[in-house]
Formats: sequence, structure tokens, C-alpha cells
Amino acid sequence: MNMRCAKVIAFINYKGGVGKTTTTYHVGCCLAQDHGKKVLLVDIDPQTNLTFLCAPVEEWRKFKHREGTVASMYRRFQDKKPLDTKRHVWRTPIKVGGVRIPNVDLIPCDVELLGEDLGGGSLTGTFPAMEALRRQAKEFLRERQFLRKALAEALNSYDYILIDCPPNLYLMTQNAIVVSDFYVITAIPDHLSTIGLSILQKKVEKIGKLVHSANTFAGDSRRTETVARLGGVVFVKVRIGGSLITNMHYNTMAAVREFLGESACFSAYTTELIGYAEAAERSCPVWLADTPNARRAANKGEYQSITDEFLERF
Amino acid sequence: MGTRKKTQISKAKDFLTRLDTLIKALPTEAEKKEARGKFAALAGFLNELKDSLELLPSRENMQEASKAVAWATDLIARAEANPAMAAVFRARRSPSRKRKGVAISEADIQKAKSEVASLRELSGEAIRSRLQDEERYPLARLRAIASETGLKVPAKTAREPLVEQIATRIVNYRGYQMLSGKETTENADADA
Repeated sequence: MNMRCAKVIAFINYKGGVGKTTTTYHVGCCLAQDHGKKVLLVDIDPQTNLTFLCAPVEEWRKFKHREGTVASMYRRFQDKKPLDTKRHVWRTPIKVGGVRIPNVDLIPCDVELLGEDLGGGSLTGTFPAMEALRRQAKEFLRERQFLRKALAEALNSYDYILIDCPPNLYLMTQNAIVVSDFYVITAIPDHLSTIGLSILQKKVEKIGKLVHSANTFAGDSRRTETVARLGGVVFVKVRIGGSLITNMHYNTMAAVREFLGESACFSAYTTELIGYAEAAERSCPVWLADTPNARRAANKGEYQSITDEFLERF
Repeated sequence: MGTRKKTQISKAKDFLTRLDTLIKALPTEAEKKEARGKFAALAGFLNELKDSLELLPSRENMQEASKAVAWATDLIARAEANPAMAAVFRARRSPSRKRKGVAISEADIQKAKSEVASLRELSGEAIRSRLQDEERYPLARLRAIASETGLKVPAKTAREPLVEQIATRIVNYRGYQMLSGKETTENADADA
């Protein structure tokens, strides 16, 4: 029996609409279809977009009623009940033309997670009283251990676990950062996104420090778990003029490479192509969507290139 | 005395040789006759050309004609734009090019409304399966159904992608209603 130990990668950015979900989805499908990897997609964004890229709404609803979602797992976690992860894994949900795509499983999300995501997720909170410091630290850590517990069972069943995070740094994203080996930032190469990148890096570092401090205050300084390291930045929706990247985007990409280091950025990127949206409507990866725009997008092989780099890095 | 005589004799010889050469180079009567004929033909051609040139009008002569051509062109353009004038001049509008594609009849449109209502009760796979029936759903009816679901598709869309778009549109629309809590009927079993 092949004992896998999955690499866990979180896709994050607190800015919305920057291709986190599309990238998580397409890299996951590409790893499975082109490279024979066994992949678990985890949707912890209450927008549930990754889930709906994998299956239509009505199929999701049936699964939700039958087995549950991340939201029900989190409720069990809060009630200190066993999480029963395997039950919540949706085996091969992606179906195209009646044929299921193998080796891609999903833990689906639910909009019900929306309220849960806010609870205790503040990064600016301090432990209010010295007497309760240890208790508070333990609770702080426990709240950020949900995904670690949930995915513990799955680590030996997959090569890669890809987590699609919501556009914020609240509790669920912090959980993802704690459980992941690496985090990948997706970003549009414009001015506002660039500002966000430096803020994001700082915040993730802060989460790491808080976890370390909490371990110390909880009286368990032996724990050496580290939070996710920056795995790379993937530029998305890059604008092309003619056959070249537009000056603005080119300059921004260059500035980010200089700021974060050349190796911090993926050299492959995606461009603004309507084919991705058309494929999303059909709940399938762009190379399996049967529209002229999707075929044009697929022919560019953008996500194949990104996945090749992904495999080199992780 | 011998050298002087030799020189005079050689000069005479040279002269006679040249004279002989000259005589031999002269045309014969036949050749002269042929040349006269050819020159006459050439002269005749050039005369004709000269006469023809005289017959051609000059640009100055044609100014009036040029104005008349411009006026006639303008008149025809106005006639094409004005039905009354067109009738007078019997000018006809060029027929508008019809788009290639399948024409949708009024009957197709009416049937499409009830079809879409029944399709909305089916799962995605069932919709696809039903619409594959070419006898029951010829292309015109498929296009009418697509239109009824709010789809805008290119005129030349083939059958298979059209079926897929219709099924996707119906399933996704049902999903949107479900998420917004507006659904009224329980959807059919989705495929396993």
C-alpha cells in the first residue's frame, strides 16, 4: 500500500476576485489529470465557489443533506465531537459529459460557515487577564486546530491537499495557515494588489508569532509546529496588449519580483480570458469545457505551466 | 620606277575591290521593290494612327460629359435611398443578406415555452438525454428552447453544444433559485 503524506498548500489573499479559487481548482485538476496525483480540494470559503466549480448546486445540496460540509464539521469540532472527516469527503465530484474526473476529491463548504468564520478570529486580540492567560492561549490554539484535526486522517490518503481560503484573514484562513506546509498568494499585478501583498506577508508572520506565543503561554513550548511558509505568488488576470504584457502589469510584476525576490514569484501566469468563466458555468476545468472561448483558453496551457512550476516547488 | 608603279597598281586594285564590294552591297531590283512595299505599309499604318488620334475627343471636350456622369451617379444613389424615386427609375434595393442559420417559426416558440417548463423538472443528465432526440427536437426547436431560457447563442451553433448550454442553463438557474430560497419544486434526483 502506497503510504502518502500529503503536502498541504493554502491559497490565500484577503483581496477578493484575484483567482484563488480558479487557481486552486485548476492546479488540483491538473495535478490529478496530467500528473496522476491524488488530490483533496478543501473549500473553507463560505462563498462556496470552489464547491460549485466541482458540482452543480443541486448535487451539492444533496451531498450536504446526506453527509455534511465543512460547516457541520466545524460545529462538531466546537461541540468537541469526533469530526468524521472521511464522511465529509465528496469522492470525485467533478463530472464532465457523464464521466467523473478521478483522483480529485472535495470537502465542500457551505454559506453557513460565514458566521463561524468570525468567531475569535481577531489578530489584534490580546489575552485579557494573566490568570486566564493559559486558558485563553489554549482556547486560541484550539480554535486554530480545527483544520489540522480535520485533515489529519486525510494526510495519508492524498499527495496534495489544496485549501481554498476566503478573502480575509479570519479564523478559517488562520486554520489553513496553521495546518499548511506552504501558502500561495494569487494576485492581479496592479498597484492595490501589490500593497496588499506586503500587508499579507506581515499578517501571516504575525499569525505564526501568535501561535508560537500561545504555545508558550499554554505551557507547551515544546511544540515546534510552524505555520505555512510563503510558497510563491501566482499572478492572475494579467493583461495582454497584442502579444505583450501591458506596461502597467509588466512593471508591477517586476516590482513584486524585486520586492519579494525572483524565486518568490511563479514565472507562469494566467491572462484575462473569458473561457475560464465559461468553464466555471459548466463546473469543469477549462480544458474540458466545450466552448470556443474555453478552448482558446485551454490552448494557452496557462494552468498546466503553473502546475509544472507547482510540482517543482512542492 | 618600279615602286611608284606598284603603289599606283595597288591603289587601283583597292579601288576596284571596294567598288566591287559596294556593287555587291547594293540591293537588287527585287529587294528594292520589297523595301518599297514595306515602307508603303508602314506609312499607311502611321497615317491611320494619325487619323484615329484625330477622332479621339480631348479631355477638354469631355468636361461636360464628365459632369453628366457625376450627376447620373448621384441620381442613382438618391433613387436607391428614396422608394418613390426608386419606383420611378425602377431601381431596386439590394436584398438584405439573410443570416445563415435555422429559422425559428412561431409554432416553435410556442412549443418552447411548455418544453422549458417540463425540462425544468428534470435532472441535468435527463435534460441532455431528452434533447439528444433529433426527431423530437430538431435544431429549430432547440434554438427556440435556448431562446426561451434566455440564452443568446451564435446562429451557427451546432446541436451538441446547444444541448449542453440549455442543460447547463436550466440546472444553474435551478441552483440560483435554490440558494436564494426561491425554489418551489423539489428538483429531480441528480445523477449519482
